[in-house]
Amino acid sequence: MIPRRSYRCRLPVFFLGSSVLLAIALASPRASATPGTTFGAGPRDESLVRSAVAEGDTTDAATENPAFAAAEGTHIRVGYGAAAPYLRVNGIDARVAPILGFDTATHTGRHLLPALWAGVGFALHLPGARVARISFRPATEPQFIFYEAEQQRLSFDLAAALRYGPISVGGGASVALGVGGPGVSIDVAQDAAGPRATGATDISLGYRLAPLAGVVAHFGRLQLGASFRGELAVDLSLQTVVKVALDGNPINGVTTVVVSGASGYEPPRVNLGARVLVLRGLRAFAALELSAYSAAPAPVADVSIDVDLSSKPALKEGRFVEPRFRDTLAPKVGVEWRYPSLPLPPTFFGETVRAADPWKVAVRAGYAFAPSPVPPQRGFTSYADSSRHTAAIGAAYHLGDVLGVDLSLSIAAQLHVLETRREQKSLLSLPFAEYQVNGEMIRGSLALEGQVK
Amino acid sequence: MTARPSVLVAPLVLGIALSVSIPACDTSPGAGLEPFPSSGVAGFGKPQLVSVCIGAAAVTPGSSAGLCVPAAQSFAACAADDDCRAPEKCLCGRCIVRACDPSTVCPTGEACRSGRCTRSCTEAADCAAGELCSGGGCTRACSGDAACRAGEACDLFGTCSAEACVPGASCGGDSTCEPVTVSGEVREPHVTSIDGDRVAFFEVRTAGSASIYRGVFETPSHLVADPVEPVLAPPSGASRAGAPSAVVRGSDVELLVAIGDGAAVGLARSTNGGRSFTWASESLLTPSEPWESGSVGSPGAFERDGDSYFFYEGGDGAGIGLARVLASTAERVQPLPLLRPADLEDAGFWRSVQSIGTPHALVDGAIVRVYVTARGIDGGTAITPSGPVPPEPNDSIGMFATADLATFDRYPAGPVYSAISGLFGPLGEREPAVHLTPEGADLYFIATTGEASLPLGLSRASSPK
Repeated sequence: MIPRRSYRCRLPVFFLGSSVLLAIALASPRASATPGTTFGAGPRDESLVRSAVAEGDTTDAATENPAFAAAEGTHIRVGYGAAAPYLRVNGIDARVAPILGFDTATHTGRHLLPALWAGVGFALHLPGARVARISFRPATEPQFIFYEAEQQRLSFDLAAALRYGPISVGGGASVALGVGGPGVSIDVAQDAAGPRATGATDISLGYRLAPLAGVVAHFGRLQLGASFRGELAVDLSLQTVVKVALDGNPINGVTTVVVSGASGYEPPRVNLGARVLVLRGLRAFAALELSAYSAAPAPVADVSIDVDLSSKPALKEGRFVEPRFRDTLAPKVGVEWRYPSLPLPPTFFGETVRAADPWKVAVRAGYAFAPSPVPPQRGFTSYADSSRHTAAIGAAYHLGDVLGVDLSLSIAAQLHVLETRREQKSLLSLPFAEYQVNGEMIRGSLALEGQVK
Repeated sequence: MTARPSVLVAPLVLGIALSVSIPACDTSPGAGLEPFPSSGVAGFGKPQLVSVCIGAAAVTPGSSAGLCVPAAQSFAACAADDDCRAPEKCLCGRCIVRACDPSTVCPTGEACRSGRCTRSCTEAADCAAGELCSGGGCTRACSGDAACRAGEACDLFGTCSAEACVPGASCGGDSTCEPVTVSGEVREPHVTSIDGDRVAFFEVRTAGSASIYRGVFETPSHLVADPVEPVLAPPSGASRAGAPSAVVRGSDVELLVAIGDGAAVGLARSTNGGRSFTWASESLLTPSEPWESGSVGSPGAFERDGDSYFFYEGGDGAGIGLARVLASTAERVQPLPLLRPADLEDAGFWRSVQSIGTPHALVDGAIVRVYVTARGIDGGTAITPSGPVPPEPNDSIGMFATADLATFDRYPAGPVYSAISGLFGPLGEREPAVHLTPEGADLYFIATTGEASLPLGLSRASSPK
């Protein structure tokens, strides 16, 4: 409960107007990405631009492929990542906030039977500024919908997996926060000094779950993987109640504005990938990720305004247009070189269980292309987005045993380039009838990973 | 190998520890979520009245008024009421009490007592330290004028009071009549940038005549005439020079002006940033087309490819035409109006549009936007205990956009600006002028009382809000 605050009030209708404006402002889009799906989970995943869906670190299990959890050992990763966006509309910096946060993950797995392994994993992203940031912006205003408030939310993922022979299968859940609660209430009354208003806000953050699933097929020099993340709609349901009681006022009564809909939406994603041991110590990764953005609901589904004053405009309801986002198919490739490493298996499909590489140094690089799901803007909305190229590099150093923990240190850097995209609306009289979008982002991350002996 | 459960919860513990210092929820704009600068199409916020001062006097409808001020009294400079000592207010950059008469409505919590607005009281405890409650209003005890606030004098009863006067009249003794208001209506503003300053040209209508002033915004809501004299008076034989619209090229300003009551559109030029003008043509465009019904006025000027154009209102709200400036004359781009009231009709948003006029042109890249005043119905029927109350027609601001000056797209959601003051009280907005800045757009307009369309004064609404 946020402490009550007092406001000066000159006209009760101001609050009615404000409520309606708030409801309209909520029409901004919320189909989203998270730091994990935008950049990756930890420096290794980031430097391989999330192409390692067939072979990842066990601590990537909860975020990249739950099947990774079916490995022996106990691991923990603690890291920090930061991205500096420089995204522009018509050449003007849109001042998108830096995307900062701690990423931490853990995993433990047991070898239960000669051909059976089981494990569980957990990952947490803690944004640097706020646990949850909610933006109220008119959809007419240009905004980088995938890089703003959606990147500033706490998220965590859980995974569990089994491996039998060459096949690992995992499942889990991704958790996000919804927004609900009684919302805002305002009481307008009168005292000797004139009309006064008392306002209170009570917003709760509830949890929403999305399923995770993954599979990895372990072969000799080839490894195949697939993962699925279910859609995650972060609901929003708020109401604003204005109670007016003023002496002699002809419009005393209660006004209720209810807004409900999706304030955040993570589309269902399928990620298919392969890893090939090309040369001794050299791994190549490729993945193709399908993101079903077309399933995104309208950002705010319903707005109802019920005015129970002495005068009563008819009940008004608003329904906002579907965002009509497009499904995207994003190709990703990466390479990793480890030194020293074990010899190559003799065949692509033969051997299914290998010991871990005794590596000391690893270097990585990757490239990904993410088409924009935003369709051409022809109406009132002015979503700002364009297809994104990502190039990444990274490195890791195996520190060895420190206080009983086998430690390694990883770093990664990414450069994201948003292509220049021009929008020309169907009417010149619409807001931002012509605009151009482009930009860059630089991302860096650092993590310490340990295996408990 | 044995798993250690304590390791599994370590990230969770770390996360909780880190989150202790992180606020739980943030709905404020804050860094990174600031509104993007508006394109000026729509999304304007609440209207704010803009105070307009000529010298030390505020331009207000009604008669000019003054206060008798002792010769020794001085005025403190101010930017807001908080800079002054009660009951002084900040008026035109100086602190002075607000003169009133029994018909004046003082601000909430104040009453008109002893010729000025002062805090209401029933006992001395309601007043500030050093004040007493006299006749329902707070005042100060005094033995001389020095104990009183600016605009007050020490009266025969030993309390501070104010005495209204007519500027130019005598106050007696060593007092002089200090003007605090000047009678006039500010109309048809045009806001532009000259040498980095936000400058407005505006018409001040007084009984029987109208002239054009140049003003500089000291704050976005405070406009001060600079110079204090009109920069353009009506040509000989005409009673009105009004509805200014400027094309600025460095310090050179071309001013398109309405002359008389629809008699002509004239052209005046300035080479000193608009501080003075000379007539280039007193009849740049005169009514000649049938649809103009003998009236042209309210030019909305703009520059395109080095040429000066202007939209104009013809036939007292019948339509909007377009003309191009040719040295000391103008040619119509086409003889018929480009925009008519019917072009704004929309069954859902704007109905029964009766008139269209006062065009203001804004060039934004390749797009020219035309903001207009139109009178129609943009509200819905209110249901009251005594039955339905149909909406009333009022003035609101509409907008069109064009790239070729021939075809125009209408803003598809009714007026781009239409405010209400209550469920039954739509305000009127007319005579728009939009000014783009790096932060967004400011819409200046004349607020009116709605159906009666009585001017309330120059107002401003900003986008983003």
